[in-house]
Amino acid sequence: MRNAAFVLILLLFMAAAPVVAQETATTTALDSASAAAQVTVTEKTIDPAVLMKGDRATVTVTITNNGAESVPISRVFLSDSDISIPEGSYDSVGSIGAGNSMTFTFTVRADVPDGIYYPRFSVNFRNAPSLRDYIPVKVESTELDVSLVTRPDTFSVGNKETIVLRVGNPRENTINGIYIVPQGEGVEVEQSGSFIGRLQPDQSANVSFDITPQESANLTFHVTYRNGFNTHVLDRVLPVVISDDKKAAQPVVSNIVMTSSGDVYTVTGDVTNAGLKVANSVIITTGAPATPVEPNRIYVVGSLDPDDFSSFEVNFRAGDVASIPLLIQYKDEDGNSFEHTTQVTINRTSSSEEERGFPVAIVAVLVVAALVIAGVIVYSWKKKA
Amino acid sequence: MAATITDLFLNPGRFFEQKMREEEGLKLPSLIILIAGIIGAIGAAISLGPIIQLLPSEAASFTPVLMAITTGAALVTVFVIWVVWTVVFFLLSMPFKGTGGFKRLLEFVGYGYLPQVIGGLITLPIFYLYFSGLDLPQVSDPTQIQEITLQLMSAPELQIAGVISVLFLIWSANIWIFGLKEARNISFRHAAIAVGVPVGLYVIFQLYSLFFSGGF
Repeated sequence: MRNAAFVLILLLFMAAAPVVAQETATTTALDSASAAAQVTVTEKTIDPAVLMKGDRATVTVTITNNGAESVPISRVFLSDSDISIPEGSYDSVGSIGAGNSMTFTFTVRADVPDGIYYPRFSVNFRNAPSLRDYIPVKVESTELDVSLVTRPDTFSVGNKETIVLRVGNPRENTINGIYIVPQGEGVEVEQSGSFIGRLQPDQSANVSFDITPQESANLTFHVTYRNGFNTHVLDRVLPVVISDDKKAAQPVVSNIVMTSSGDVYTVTGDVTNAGLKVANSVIITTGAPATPVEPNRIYVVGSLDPDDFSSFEVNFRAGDVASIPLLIQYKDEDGNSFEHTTQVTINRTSSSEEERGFPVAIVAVLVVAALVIAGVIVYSWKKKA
Repeated sequence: MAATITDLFLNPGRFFEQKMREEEGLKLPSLIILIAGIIGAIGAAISLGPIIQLLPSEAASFTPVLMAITTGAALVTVFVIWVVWTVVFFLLSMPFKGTGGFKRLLEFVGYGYLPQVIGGLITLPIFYLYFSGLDLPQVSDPTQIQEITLQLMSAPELQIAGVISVLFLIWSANIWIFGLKEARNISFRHAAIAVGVPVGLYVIFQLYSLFFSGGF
């Protein structure tokens, strides 16, 4: 009887044991879930805040255990079907202690069209449901705006002009390290580059470059900037076409009178500035084949305001040429030298015309006189005989 | 039969033989020299015109004085040279035992100037045509005035005119040979030497000045 009672008790115990174990496990799971529920995402940042297509960004997520118990974490990861996340998983995290925070950093790459994407941030707990959150990643490929604010109407060879560029940031995030380098063959630029640095959203900055073109060319402004740690290059091309400056000083020679003395010619006349800018250091002389001679090898007029004029006089020698170049040299306000050439026809005076024809007649007179005199002398000597 | 101008040119021997029979007289020779002097003065005035243009405007008031001095000098110079030639011929004829007087020789040398009067009448238009067509700038530097003057005087027209003058001087020399022979009673050969040597040297000097020294 005692044995039967022992067996009965044993059977009852065996029957009750799984139920107790199940009840114990259930109680433990509930405790773990309760603890995991205290873990929340407390901070999530992305740098740069707005990506351009192809950019990489750093996503940083901080979770905090607000509970009183340590919570074991099996895996933390960031995933998305569009955004590329090269290393999006933390497989050995351990536990997050009570009151502690943990920060997870991921790198994402936006090889996607513009738009807003939401990668999923997941924290897998042991014995508890996962924690999920979505990190908004904004992709917007608008570039910096580079525009010409000031440029001359025309370019002329050797004439220094100032170009002013305005760089604006139409993006929603700050752009760093903005640097502009001008480059172009046939165009001399005084500044090798210009550094702007940081531009806040909707801000702009002006930069100026002094350029001196030697020929028609394309001047390219290489604009380098950084969006976060992504470097971008933007080119803006300025066609530099050499043409006449519409406002430039324009010396015009008039009232030309040429006289000669032997082989020395004297040219007098007026030089008028028919342009809209001042002509400085105006000098007048003659060019080859003429040879300037004293007393006025060169004639210094000085400064000529628009619509102003001055008289001049230059002396030169010239061979048997029909015309000679009259050179008017002047400078603009920047010291650039210019030369204007006016062909002047050599006006040989009537005596000069006769210089070519008249001697023939005189030679004829000479010959006749010589013959007559010789005849008379011979005749007189014959008479003597 | 009186000596004629035609004889002077074509048969000067007979002209001076006949003159030797007449009284010495300097009226006609002086008239010839005066005409030659006037022609020379006119030529000097024509030449001076453009030179005056070179002078600064401040010197314009001196123009009449300058003109008077130049023309007067040209006139007087002809008379002086007349006497100088006569003295030279007289002296050079002395070694050949010349016997005639100085006044007679001066008279005959004066007649010998007549071809040069003709030469002057020919060269005067050349001077006028050349200088009247020039228009010269005003200059202030004296060295430049000199330079321009040299250029003016080295013109072909003036060089040819100079040669013409030399030719007529040679014609005068031919007459002077006959005149010297008669006036100093020496042989034709001696007269030719006495006239030919100084005139020849003078001609060489004139031609050298014309073609190698840039002017007269």
